[in-house]
Amino acid sequence: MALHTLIVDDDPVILLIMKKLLEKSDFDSSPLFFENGLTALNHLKENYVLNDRYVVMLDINMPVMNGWEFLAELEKFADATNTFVFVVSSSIDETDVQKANSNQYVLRYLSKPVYTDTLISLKEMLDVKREKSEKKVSG
Amino acid sequence: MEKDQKNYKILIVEDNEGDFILVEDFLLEHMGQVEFTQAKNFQDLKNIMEIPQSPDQGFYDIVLLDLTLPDKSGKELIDATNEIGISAPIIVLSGYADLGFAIKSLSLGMSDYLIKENISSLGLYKSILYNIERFKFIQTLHESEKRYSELFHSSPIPMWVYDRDTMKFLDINRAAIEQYGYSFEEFLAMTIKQIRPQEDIPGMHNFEADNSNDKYFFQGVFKHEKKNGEIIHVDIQSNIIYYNGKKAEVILANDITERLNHIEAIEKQNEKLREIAWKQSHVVRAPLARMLSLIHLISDKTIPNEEKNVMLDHVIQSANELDEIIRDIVNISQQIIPKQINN
Repeated sequence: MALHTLIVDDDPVILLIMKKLLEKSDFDSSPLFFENGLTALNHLKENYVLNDRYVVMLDINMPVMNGWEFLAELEKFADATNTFVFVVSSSIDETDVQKANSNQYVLRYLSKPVYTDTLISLKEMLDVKREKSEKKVSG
Repeated sequence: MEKDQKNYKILIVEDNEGDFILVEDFLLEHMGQVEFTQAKNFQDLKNIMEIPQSPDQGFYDIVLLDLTLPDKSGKELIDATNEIGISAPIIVLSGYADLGFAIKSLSLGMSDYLIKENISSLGLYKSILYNIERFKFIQTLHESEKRYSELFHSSPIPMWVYDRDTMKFLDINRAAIEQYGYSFEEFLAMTIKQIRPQEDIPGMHNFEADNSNDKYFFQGVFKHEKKNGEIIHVDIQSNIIYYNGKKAEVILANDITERLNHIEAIEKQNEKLREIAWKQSHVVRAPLARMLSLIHLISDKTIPNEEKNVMLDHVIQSANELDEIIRDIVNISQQIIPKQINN
């Protein structure tokens, strides 16, 4: 049950920052980076297996394919039990927050900046989720 | 039969003393409280009406007018009498010889006519009562018509009445004349289509068709064109009425152009404010959030210095980006402020 982390953001500085933070928080030492929703979507479509777990750190405002369009495409093939999305946006607009939280894949809306502590708590959140689903399978 | 005890003031215009006494006697049979005044010729009548000798002179319940007086008679007499403007009903007394003209006098404004040879005490009494009552009633009707007409003409809101069949203006109040710039006479020669902008006229037919179901009340906003070509927005309210026997509509046309312009200006401002709000939330925060993350990492002692130097460059870049965005927002804000001063 491998965990794949995908960072989707058109800002290269953010990718650099996220890489450092993921390392420091022990979240994932080899995340994959994508500059817009489309490249991330294509990768996911080709490699998606039900037995693996996917975490997507998703920016909203991006060229080519934005975060909302990515989420809509996800519905065509991905399962919400093994695909988890954290929306990471600099927007603090309440309508964006509500829109994200009403999506089945979105676990949480994170407004930038994201710090090491935040990623540690997300990792714990994911671990709890895995334990629960494993219990369900074995029970 | 008991005598009528009401007070009557009766003016008898009669040169023949015998006839005067006869009329007086007839009336006294039925009336207990009568005050008679006699005028012996037209000049006499004119003097009594125009140069009153006492405050209550000149006011009569009824005037009995002999058609043949020494100084005036017939049509000439009636025309001259009408000119005095007596505010009492006038009953013409005439002989058989003048019957034809006596009948005609009714169309000249006389209330009634009596043939002297046929007068009876009761007939005369009844005619007097009948004409007094009828005159009062007509007077009240005139007053009420005048009141409504004044309400219409002095209303500060532009109003008009138009014929539903021909679309022609039938009556126009002062406020409408002022609003549209056409004179009363110009309006009367126009149809309501002529105050609509040319391009709106084809659509008007639908509106009329919709309205042909005789909806009692209608309201809506329309574009109208003034005489000088200026287009105004008017809030129209209408009601179906009968005007001189014709099916017509009374229209209230309130100019709301200024109000609409004001709303439009406010909406444009709101649009700018929404743009600013969107930028604050989406654009301003991007470089700021980036800077915060970078500073967070730079303050981390475990990160090597070469990496920190790269990060520092990014901090500077982000700061410059933020500066540019803020200038942009200030620009948009300034587009709003001068407008407020102008308005």
